[in-house]
Amino acid sequence: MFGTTAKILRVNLSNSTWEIETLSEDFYRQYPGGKALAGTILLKEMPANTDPFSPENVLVIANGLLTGAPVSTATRYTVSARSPLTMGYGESEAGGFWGPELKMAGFEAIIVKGKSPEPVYLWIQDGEVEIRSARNLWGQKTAEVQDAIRAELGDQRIRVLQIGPAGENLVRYAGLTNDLRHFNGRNGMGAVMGSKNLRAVAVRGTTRYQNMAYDSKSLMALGRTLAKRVKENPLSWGLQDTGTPGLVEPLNTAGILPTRNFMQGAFEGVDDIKWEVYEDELLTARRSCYACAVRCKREVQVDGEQSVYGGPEYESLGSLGPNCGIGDIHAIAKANELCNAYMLDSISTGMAISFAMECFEHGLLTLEDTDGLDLRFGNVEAMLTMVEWIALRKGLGDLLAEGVMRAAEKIGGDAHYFAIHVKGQELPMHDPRGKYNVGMGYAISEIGADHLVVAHDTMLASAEGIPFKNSAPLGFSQAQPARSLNDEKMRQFYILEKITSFEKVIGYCFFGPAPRSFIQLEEMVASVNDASGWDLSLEDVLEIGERATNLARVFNAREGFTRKDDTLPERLFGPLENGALQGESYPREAFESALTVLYELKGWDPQSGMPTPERLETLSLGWAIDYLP
Amino acid sequence: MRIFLGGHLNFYHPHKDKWLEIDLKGPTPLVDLLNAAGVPLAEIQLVAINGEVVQLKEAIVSEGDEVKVFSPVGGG
Repeated sequence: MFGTTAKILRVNLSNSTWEIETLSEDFYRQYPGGKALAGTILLKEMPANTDPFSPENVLVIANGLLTGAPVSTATRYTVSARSPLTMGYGESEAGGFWGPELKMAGFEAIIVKGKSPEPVYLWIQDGEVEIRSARNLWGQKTAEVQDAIRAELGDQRIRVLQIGPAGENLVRYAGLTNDLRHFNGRNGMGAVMGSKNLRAVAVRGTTRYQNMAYDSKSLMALGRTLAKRVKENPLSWGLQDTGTPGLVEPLNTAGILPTRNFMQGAFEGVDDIKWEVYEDELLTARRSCYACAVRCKREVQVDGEQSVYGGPEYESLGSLGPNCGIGDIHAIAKANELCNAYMLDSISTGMAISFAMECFEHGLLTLEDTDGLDLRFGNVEAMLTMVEWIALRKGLGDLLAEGVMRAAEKIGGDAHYFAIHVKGQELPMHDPRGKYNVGMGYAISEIGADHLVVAHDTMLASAEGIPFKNSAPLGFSQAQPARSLNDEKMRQFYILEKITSFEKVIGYCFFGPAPRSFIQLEEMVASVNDASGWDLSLEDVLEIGERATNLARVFNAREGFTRKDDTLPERLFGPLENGALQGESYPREAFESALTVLYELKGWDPQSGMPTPERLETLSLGWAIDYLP
Repeated sequence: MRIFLGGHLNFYHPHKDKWLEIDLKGPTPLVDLLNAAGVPLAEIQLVAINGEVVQLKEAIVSEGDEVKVFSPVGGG
């Protein structure tokens, strides 16, 4: 088999044993990594109703076929388990260098079961595996742990994937980081890892991808073509120029910059946090992930000193900034650094704080609850204090560490109205009242509110725009307005979701393939075939993406999720208070109709939202029918 | 006067600057200014003049206006 090591490392932490499994090509063609591999393993190897913090939860860390290929944006890996935040299928992807290093060390994936009696970390080097004590690492921030592991093992080139104190403390939205600047932030995967007493996975490998690929010459030629194109294509060039922080100002102008817990869509202090200020006040360098020419990552200074953590992305700027009524870019950078040091998901952290701020302003939380913190919107010190309290489960932070859904249940009263989440996961920083397909993605995503389900509506709203032209192989008949949920829009959603899902399987970044970005769809398919020696068509590739989505959906169906869970927070069906879309709501009736249309396209039952056996058979997932309730 | 080229639109500026310097001779349709500067109209999704969102085709620019144009922006 080409393009893959075909090896899975299986670790049982309860008895400190491990073994290596070799994948068959027949299996791997159906589930070529990432989301697809994880979904299969979770369904087959975890009983229904498994407590996410029990030893029986299965933690899967999985590369895609292309992870580590010498092609820009093919760097990503998936971390998956039952989510303690949503209680459903859990998943989070990250780029960086760790996934490629794992492949170079001989493994596609790691499956972790059981629970270690004491803190440990895994050390993997060119096929050799060791379970080592992490007692002296427990409780330390992520930068300290990375330094300590590299020093202990005597190699500064070791790549460290780890949780932080937040994961140790079972914060339900604790994440993982690699190299201190790439994050599997969402869904509480860090808390699952913490529940197993597993602090880190350190890897070092030397087998290059070029030696695994079927047609390495062709793959490398494509890699060179794409690297050269980055600066010649406006979409990729824009990502390099400003990175995601460049989104702040246009989203504010469009009236969809989440402000004060999604009450508003425009922030009066935006001029203090826009890209030009970021560039002047924070930016020190641009960096990339492994073999990626896009270079969308930012290095920053915080409090006047070079930070060892990566700079805030747009999501962190939004959630810890305007969403909390805060326009102090230095405070936001500090809060982002704290999230990375403790390894909290910055989206859910900001959203938990904005939820508490709104509860405080409505008297649902008092000074007694906050230990005297004046937790009103805009209070920088209160925001920074709460980030640490959440990570350490101190004071009110202990409640907010449960996520807004559970916190609202405990607070009672109208607090549920201020809990802005889907399936228990807090919303990312895109107000769907200006991008209806983003809202549909929030609602229907198996992992709860997720902004990386489909290319955003705005990108495809103009027939003359680059992304719509990029979509030609997909057969879209005409561009659709961002604020529409018509049948053609749902057909586009259905197809676009397959692409994003495939990216999460194969290892590509959301910022790589068309129509969102600069790698044309035929090139995406060619890269897979060059790597594997397979002869996949675009249709085959889309089916792999659809198969992966259906696995996650079956997992959720088994856990009791139904159509009623595919919805949006009540606030979004009401009007925005300010900005360019002041007074505009997400249309409830059109949403319900569109959801039915989308279910039908997906082959899911319109009443239950579950995949039909017929569709599962079509997707070669007949075996999964047994897991439906 | 100056026009702010937001999103990826400064790709079309000769020096990749975010601000496009314009020598304005009285009120002028924005589309004329952008066409003259080589900024593709098809890639403009959002126009704000003095903080108000306006339609590109209807926008008239005068000296002293704060003009900002943005390409479509997605998530990530």
